[in-house]
Amino acid sequence: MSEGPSHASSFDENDYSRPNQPWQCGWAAEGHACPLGPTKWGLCRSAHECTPYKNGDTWFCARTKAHGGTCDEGPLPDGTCCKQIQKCQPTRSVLSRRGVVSFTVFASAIALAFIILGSPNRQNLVSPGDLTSQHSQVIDRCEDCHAAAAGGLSDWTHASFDATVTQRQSDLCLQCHAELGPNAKQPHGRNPELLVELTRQQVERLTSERQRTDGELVVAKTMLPQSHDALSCATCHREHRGNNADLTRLTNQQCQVCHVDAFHSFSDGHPEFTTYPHERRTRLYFDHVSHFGKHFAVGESGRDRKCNDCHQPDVAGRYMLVKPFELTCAECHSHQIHDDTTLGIAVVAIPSLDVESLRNNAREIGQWPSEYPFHVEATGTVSPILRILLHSYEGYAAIEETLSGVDVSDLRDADSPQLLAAESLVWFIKGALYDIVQSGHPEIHRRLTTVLGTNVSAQQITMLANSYPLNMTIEMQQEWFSSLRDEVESKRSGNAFAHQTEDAPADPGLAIQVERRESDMVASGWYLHGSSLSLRYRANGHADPLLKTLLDVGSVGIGNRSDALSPQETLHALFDQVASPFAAGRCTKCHSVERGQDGRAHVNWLAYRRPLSEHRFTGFSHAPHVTLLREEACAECHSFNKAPGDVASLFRPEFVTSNWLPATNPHDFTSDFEPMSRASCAKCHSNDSGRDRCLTCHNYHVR
Amino acid sequence: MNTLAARRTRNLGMTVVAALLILWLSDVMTTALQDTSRMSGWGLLAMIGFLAAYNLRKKLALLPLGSSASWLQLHIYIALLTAVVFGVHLNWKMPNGLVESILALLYLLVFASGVVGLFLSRSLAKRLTTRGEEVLFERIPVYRKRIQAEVEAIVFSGLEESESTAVAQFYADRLREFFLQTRNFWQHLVQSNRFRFGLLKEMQAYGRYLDESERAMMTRLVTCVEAKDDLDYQFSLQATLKYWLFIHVPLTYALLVFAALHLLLVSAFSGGVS
Repeated sequence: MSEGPSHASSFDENDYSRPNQPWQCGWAAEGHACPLGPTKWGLCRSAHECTPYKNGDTWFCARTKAHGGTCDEGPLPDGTCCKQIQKCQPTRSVLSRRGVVSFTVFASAIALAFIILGSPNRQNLVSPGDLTSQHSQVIDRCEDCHAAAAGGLSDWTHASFDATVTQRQSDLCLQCHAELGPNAKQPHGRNPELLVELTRQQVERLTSERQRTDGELVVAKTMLPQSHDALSCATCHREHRGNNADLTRLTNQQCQVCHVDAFHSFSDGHPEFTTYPHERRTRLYFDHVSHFGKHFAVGESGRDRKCNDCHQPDVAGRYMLVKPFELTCAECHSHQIHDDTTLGIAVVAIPSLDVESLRNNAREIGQWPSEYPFHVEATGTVSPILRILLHSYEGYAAIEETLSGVDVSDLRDADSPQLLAAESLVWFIKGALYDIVQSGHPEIHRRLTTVLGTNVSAQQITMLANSYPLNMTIEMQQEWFSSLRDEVESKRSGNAFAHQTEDAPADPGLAIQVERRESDMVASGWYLHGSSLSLRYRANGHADPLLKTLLDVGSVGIGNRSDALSPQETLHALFDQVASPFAAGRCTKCHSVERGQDGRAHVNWLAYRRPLSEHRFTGFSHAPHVTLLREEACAECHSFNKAPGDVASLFRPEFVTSNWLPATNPHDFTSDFEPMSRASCAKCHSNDSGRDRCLTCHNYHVR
Repeated sequence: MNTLAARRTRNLGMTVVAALLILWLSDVMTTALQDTSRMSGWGLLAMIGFLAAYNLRKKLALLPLGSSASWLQLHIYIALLTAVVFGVHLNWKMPNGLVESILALLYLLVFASGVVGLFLSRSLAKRLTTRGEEVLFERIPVYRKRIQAEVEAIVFSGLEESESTAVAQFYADRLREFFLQTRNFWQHLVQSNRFRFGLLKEMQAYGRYLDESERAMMTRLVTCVEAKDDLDYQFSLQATLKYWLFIHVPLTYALLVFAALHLLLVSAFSGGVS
């Protein structure tokens, strides 16, 4: 330190100093600040060194000792001090300068804020960041997502105190994301009551030894809302975090905080799989064990097949789909569809009648083909399709009721009402045939619509009506009901008509016609089958549209079956007729039939196809696994639950009932494969791999 | 451990514990799908409000609001804590939006200026006692004028007493500018004596060409040079101690303005103040 003169000791303490006031005398830096100092507005107040006082007629100097005492010159004659102080330029104190800078910056900040709020480009300026690339493509205005954005500053202020803003914004989200369903704002998009029930079931399965008890999770659980208030979308999805932000990212912790079954990781504590992924039978009946154990066995048939011969990933690589029939099953099963060793489906079957009994009881039926001896296969049953056509008559249901349990081919023990009903049946059948021959397809369409209109789609009715072979109906009429026109017209006009006597011989020409029909039986399509008095149909190949429609229409009767004789019951009879695995086309040999949750049955014409809207709790993508595991991919996870040699029976009970009809409960089954094991997944999806996030396999939004 | 060190250790320890607690709580709230941004935002606003109130407290010295020293301690450690809350609030990423970016930048500038101020007040205050006489900042210009006047008096008296103009010439060439105003602000700030030693060495060397009376004058001038340099040193350090607040305080006001704007926007656009 230098040893110069002491500043403090040399400082004139009488010098006026105001470091805490905004303005300082301009002479202060020169060391002689004036005693008055500047005004608070920074104006110099300099005047004179003193204010003289008057004593008698004389003015005296009043300068204080601190400022030098009385001066020698003394006041001027007018009483003013002779020592005028030179004006200065007051300077701001450091504190004041800081205040000025602070005020300037503060005012500038407010101005900038108002410039931003008042700018025409306000929405972009106040945006807290870029939207994700997905949203930025479809959203260009703040009000698309923010309820308050449409208004001005006052609306924003009002919205700031509006507690409903969050939910209203979620509603705006759901205007676009309507696919999330009515419960979108509830946890997992599910009905809260269902979640409560699922939680209750989960609690029952809890095992204490694997439960997490770490503090963070325990404390976090206490922060969860106790009520079932609707969640806002922003609870999980935080926007404005850049184009590449992951809106759906959730940590394992965040998933576990709500779940009563909280465990450490997938490999440590995750519940074991039970039936996954085989939670229902396959839609196509395919016995993997028997096929691989027998039909595909090398040396047996020479068909050395691998999984990917029949399966291929979908476009996204997510699901393994079944390849088309022509590439998979056709080689071995086409001939079964075209099987001409079985009769086609009797679409219109004329019942064999006990004509003799009817005539003996004075029942007028006119000409009836079953009286001829070559109709050996004809039965006393009206075919389902014919029954449907007859149901368009108002009184037909009563006839069916009267004839319930009666074999019309043997009416010897029938009582009078039954004989009368049989007679009516004859005229209903003849009337229907007559109308069809006269009016053609529109008549069939009308009758089908009358009977099935409420249960079957117009498209299906049109399909059935248009497929009906009118020419063959005419041939049938000409061959089996040659006097149909006269008989029906006479009957309807109330005239008596002549009928063949019981002794009349069979028309030999007709017999020849029928025999020709027998020999002309076609391998596919429509044909008349004389010995069973029926118009029949054989499949034209795989995916035959008529057979598909018949099964679809018939399956309607499954869900609506009642004890009463009704069109629905008739549909069920149609289903029973077509759905047998031995019926023509053998559709249900492979295509399973099942009841939906609404009780209605339907035929699974396709193997599993993921609906676009489906989003389940658990998801799995085959593509990365197949890529990683290559040839061994399938067997690595899908192992048979039976030995290859343990070939199953031809029809397993989960697909076919004991009376040879399709079983309709898809969940009553035994899978061909063992369930997946958690351990096999955990080989790769471990803590170390970083691929054990909950969201790797699970979806939050379920629909 | 002396009292100051103990107090600092205690305060710093409490701050670290509070920071860890905040981080843990943030994690817990994130896990519970709570809106951590909202909570940290309100927390940050309250903390900044308290920090800003320190300036108000200094202006309301008469009110019994606790000692200024206590407020300063709270100001320092709560300010350090805001950095953690700020990081949590921003999820440890810089925002993208204009308003949020300005706000974040303002916070960072205020925080950084505060840290710098803390460092300066810790380091410069000690240095002020190591060199020169401790003087009031506002009086430094007076002292400088006085030294300048003294130097000029020495030089002019020399001219009158001697025919040689060597000292006066040296003054005019090398010293006049030095005494005219404050010099070497940044050198003093970084504790550099290069100029001082250089000038004194030059004066010493110049003395070999002077006669006895001139050397005596030069010796007096050396004393004045040292005094002026010490005064410059005091000015440099004291000015720095005062002027860092010219960044810290005004930016705090701007920070409060943009915090209010941010609060309005987030409340209106993301769910109300409640």
